[in-house]
Amino acid sequence: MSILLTVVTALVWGLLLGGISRNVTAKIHGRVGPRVTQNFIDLWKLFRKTSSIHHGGMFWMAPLFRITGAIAVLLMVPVVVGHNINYNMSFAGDIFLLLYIMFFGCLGMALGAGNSGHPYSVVAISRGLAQMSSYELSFSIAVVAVAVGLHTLRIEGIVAAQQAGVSSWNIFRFPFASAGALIAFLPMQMAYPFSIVLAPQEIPIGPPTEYSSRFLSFMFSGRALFSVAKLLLFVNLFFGGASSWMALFVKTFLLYMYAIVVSSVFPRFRTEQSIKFLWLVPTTLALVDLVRVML
Amino acid sequence: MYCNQPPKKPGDKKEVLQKITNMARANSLWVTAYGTGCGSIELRPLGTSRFDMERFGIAMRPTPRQADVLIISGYLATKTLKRVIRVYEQIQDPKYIMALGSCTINGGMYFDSYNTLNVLDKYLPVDVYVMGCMPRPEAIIDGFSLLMKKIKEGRAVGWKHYRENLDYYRENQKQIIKNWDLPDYNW
Amino acid sequence: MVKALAVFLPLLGAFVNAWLPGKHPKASRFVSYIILTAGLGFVVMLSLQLGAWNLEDLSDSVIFHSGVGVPPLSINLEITAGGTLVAIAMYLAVIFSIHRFALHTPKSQPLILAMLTASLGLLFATDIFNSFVFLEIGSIATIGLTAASKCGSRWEAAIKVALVSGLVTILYLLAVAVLYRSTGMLTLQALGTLTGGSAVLVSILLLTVIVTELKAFPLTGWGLDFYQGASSNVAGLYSATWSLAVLMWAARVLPLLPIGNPIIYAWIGAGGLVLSQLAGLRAGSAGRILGYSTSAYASLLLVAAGTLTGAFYTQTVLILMVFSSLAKFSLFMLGNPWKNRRWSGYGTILMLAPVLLLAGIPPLPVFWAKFAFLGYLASNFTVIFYAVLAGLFLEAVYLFRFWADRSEKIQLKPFSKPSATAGVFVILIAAVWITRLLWTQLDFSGSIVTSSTLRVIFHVLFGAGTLLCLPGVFNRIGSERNYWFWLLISGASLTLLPAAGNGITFYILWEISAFAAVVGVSRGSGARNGAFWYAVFASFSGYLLLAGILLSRGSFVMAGLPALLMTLAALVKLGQFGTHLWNVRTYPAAPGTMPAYLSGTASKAAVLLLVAVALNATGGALPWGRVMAWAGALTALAGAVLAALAPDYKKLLAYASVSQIGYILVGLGLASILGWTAAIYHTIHHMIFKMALFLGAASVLYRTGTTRFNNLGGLVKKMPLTFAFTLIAVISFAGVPPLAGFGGKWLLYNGLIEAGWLPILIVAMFASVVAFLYSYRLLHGVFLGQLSPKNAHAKEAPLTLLLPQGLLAASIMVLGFKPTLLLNILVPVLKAIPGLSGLAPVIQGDMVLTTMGTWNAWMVGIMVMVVFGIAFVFYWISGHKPKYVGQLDIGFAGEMPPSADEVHYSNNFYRPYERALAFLPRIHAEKLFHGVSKTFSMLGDGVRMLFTGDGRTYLAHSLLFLVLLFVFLNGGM
Repeated sequence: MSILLTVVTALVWGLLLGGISRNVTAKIHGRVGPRVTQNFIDLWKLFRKTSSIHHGGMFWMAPLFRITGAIAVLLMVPVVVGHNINYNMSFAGDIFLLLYIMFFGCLGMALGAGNSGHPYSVVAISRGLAQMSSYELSFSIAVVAVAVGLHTLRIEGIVAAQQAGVSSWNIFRFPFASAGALIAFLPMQMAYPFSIVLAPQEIPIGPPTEYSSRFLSFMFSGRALFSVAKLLLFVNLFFGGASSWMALFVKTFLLYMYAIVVSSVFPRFRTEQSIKFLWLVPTTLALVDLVRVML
Repeated sequence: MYCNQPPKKPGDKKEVLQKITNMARANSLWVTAYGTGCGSIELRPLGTSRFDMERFGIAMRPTPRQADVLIISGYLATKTLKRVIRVYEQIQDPKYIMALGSCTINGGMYFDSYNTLNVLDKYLPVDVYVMGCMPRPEAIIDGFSLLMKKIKEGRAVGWKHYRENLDYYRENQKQIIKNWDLPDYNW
Repeated sequence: MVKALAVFLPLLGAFVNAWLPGKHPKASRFVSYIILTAGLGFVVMLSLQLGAWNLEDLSDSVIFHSGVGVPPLSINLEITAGGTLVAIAMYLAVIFSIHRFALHTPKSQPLILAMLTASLGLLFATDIFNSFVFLEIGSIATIGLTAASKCGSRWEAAIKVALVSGLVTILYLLAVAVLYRSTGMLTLQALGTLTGGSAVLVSILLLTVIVTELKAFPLTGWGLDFYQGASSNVAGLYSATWSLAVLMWAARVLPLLPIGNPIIYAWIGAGGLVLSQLAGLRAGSAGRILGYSTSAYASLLLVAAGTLTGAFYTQTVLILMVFSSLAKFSLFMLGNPWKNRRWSGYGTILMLAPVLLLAGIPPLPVFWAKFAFLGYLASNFTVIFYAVLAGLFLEAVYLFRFWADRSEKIQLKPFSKPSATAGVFVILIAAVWITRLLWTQLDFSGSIVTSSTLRVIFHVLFGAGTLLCLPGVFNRIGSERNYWFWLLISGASLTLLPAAGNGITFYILWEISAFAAVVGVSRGSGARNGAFWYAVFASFSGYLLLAGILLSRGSFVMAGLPALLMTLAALVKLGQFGTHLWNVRTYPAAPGTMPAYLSGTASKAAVLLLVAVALNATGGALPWGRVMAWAGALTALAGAVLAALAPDYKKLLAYASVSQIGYILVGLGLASILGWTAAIYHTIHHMIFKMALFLGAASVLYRTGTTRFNNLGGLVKKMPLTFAFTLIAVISFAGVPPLAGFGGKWLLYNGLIEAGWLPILIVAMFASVVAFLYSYRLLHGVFLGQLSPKNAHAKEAPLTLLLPQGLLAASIMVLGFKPTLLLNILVPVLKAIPGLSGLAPVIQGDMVLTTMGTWNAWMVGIMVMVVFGIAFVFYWISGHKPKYVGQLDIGFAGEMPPSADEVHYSNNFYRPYERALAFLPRIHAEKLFHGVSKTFSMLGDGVRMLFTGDGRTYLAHSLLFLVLLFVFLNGGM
């Protein structure tokens, strides 16, 4: 079944991408870096921990929410263009549905963090929500600009409009909107300098502070799945979709590397700095294209 | 054709699973980012590009909930012991303790101090000792290799020992910590 | 003989009584009662004889002639049917209040009876000199009563009356002399035969006399000082008898004055109304406030005399003046001391009914008269109409402030209950009587909202909304009073609202529901301020609505200005675009489930109004749709930001309410099928989730006694079901699929894209993202986090609050998974409305398609459920059981947190956000509002400078008025 294949591939690819990115970062830092399969090992170790604790019902269910949200987003995006079986559930909703169902996972995570009782998890969530309201603004402007420009809200439609060769990719047709969306991509991936949600060593690690062993392993896999889902979304929205599995891997890899390279060289913003930046720069860029589309 | 040991069943699922799990645990050691004593200054260069612990899968985690290893880096004051006990018990099983320096074995340089403890093993189960005062990063990496070997062989069972002999450890801890206000079961 | 007795019996009694009080107080009281009862009986007989009780033709009369010859040697009285009704009111007022005088100052009883005689005589006199006699008797009785009372500033009050009466006498006798010289007659009819210079002179003199005696602006000063200085008993009696008599006499004389163009009265009245009510905003004491109210009604009389004629005039004046005087009588009888005392429900009605009557709220009698009167003005004298509306609104403001401030401080004296009760009782009986007579004006056919499906939807919405809030009224905390009665009335009138067929019915139902809700809100503990704000804004929107209805001649079919006024009325009621101030003060103060009702159900009345206006104005589209959509979008954003920063549960929900309703406005403003579908879908959905949220807040408040986030937290352990329902509601309004809220947003966004209004789309999307901030704050601040030991005693919410929440949450789930159930009903109805543009969404089974997007809620829901289920199973079966640890066992750097309070993060929750917003000065709506109210206060203070408190100034005012009249009228004629 295409759905199962998609999910498994996404999980494996997400973890692999994580491993590769750790190596890339290490090389930038002048280090050796871990194995490429390090994330798999981490995941297995966490999963096989022999004890774990929980703080309440919502805490227990939060990783579930996260995984469900991630898989839901993953299934709503067409994976490989041209083969209908790989469109999964994308017939069931358009880009607005996708934008809002992305919040499902975050909501679950937020509730679990709240229930953990650790004040710093909640601090992280409040910072994350504040930042999210900023980057969602520019992202939604970009998405609306693209959708209205192409006269369709359905993701298959947006992808189909980009099949006429490289020059028809949205990154060239709507350069400003894409630029704004790509800047908004960084906080979505929790990459530096916008990594104020997880903020390792700062609060202490944000929402997953109290999570351990099995819960954490589910969160990790959720995070991997979600990364791949977002990458897929971006590839479909701005980079012409993937016409084969190979093209899929290559495009998502390159996009992910962009985020990794940027995040390796930046420190972390303060929350209000990141909010102000995200309100100004990507929003203005995306607005340029929106105005262009309206006229 | 006579054997002194009962035959090992190859392909035993539990056995294979355990082996894989042990390999995973060994190759992905997460250390609690808690510097308890003077040895933690040597832990910081471990993360830098000269010694790079990440290639072994070792990473520093900010909370004990997500860690496997607790490093007691040097002498342990009784004040610190109280917090270390709580941190240790917040780490989820299986967990390992690595003790640095001679202060953890027999008190070392501070053997006659009113404030430090002499034999760490009485209070917390130690899996690996690393020699030195303070051990250099290379030595700590050597210690990690030993720990990984122990884990792969299934011999790093300090945590099981702690669970089974909790009364013994508690008695020792309460003896030395005068203002005991922790709950009896911390996890 | 009967007629004579009716009028002069009290005089006889006065003489008798003058002998008795000192030695035999009980006997004198007995005599008074006998006389009064007998007199009342005679008057009733007369009224029945004249057929006054059906209020149709009040000019039937019977002439009485006494003495020998012609006046002034004899007294001629024309006893009209209307006059007998007024006389009955006067008799009742005296009967019910004379016991207070009999106890405290027995010697004032003859004065009272004399004043009654004078009032009755003035009511019926046909001769100008006889009127003068009665005027004199009345003035002297007033002075005597004031001086005889045991109040501190009685001499100041009495001297003002004396001064003014003196001047009035002079001017009046001058006018009589001129009249007699010119015509040789002394009847009131003779006034009409005057011509030329003497006509001008007599008119000016008599007009000055009338304006002075009526206490209309600008000659109000002495009246205010009198009411303030006299004891409340005297003031009450005065307003119920003498003041009423003067009003009715002036009503008879004013049309007879040979002044040329009676519109002069209307101008004096309208201008005076506005200016005096401005001054009234700054009034401080009860007496002055009621004095300003008297002045308002006097100005209204002038306006009526200037614009109305015939039987309409007589009826209007009768109802307005009689009942307002009775209302003031009741309010005065409640007294003016300043001790604190707790109110019972009885006390609320005693204070409230007169205030509502003075403000003109249906179904009390004054409303009918005002409605008809204002309707006539709207059609014929538009400028005066606006002036009168403005003045009436200002009067309503300070009356409600009076009620909100004073009603907490009034102590019910042992003897005040019967008088005030009697007054209120008469008012209520009259309300029922008059409503029965005028019932045919009402229309319940439902022809305003032309689509019957929409009507049914709103009927169900309002009815269900009320019913769901009712069980919770049994959970009262602290010093809250019972409010189920008011909730029921309000809800019942709302449920009838879609069935209204014409403007007056709509207005009546609207106002009843609004003001019943005001009273319901005021039953909370410490809720007077909230109730006051609500009353002011409700009356503001009510007046806007009234203006709209009257300008369109009582029907709803209109365009242009009336439609705009009604739209503004709806916006104020919804708290949009800067008028959210009342929401923020009222919802936290309202008790129990009232905020759930107000926010979930009552605000939808305004949505119904907008729908009705749109349907009737241009068949579905309003010409200012774009402006309305911008207003809605900006409110949604501002409300969301303010909600994120709110420190209190109910305040957050108030701001959230305002924000979510902005979406409905955007949808209605779009005026396309998609837009209206989104708006009505969101209306229904908003009612569901807002009610669930407020019921949750009521449960939390009930169990813990607080709604501040600082004091709450961790309640998920104690109230898991409440948390579950709140969570469902929160997920829903944040717009996260698969629950219901997403549908409204999706439809709205599609509509906005279809119309090409992309900037509004961006603002709306931004607002919906900011909604996540406050929804998380709500959940975390109350339910998640650490449980404080203070709240350890909390239990799950009581069943009366839990069941409605459960029902609402279940309906959210159903609506979320199968929105096509609702859309299949809505879309065909909306397609049939001609004025709506755009394409309808196509519904194929579970899939909803628009030109650009698709949505299949069922598949999405199923997918989420299946994935969740599989993951759940996998989660459950893999490995060991996790151990539950206590709430303080967190990774706290090796320490144990000392207590739960120190590790609960709830204060300054979004501090980085606040800092990022620091470039925006604090939200402007409050500043704008304070600026406006300061301006009005300044204007009022300016007008108040006229009232110096010096009696001589008032005399100067009168003379100046005379001179001004001479200048203007002589030139004009």
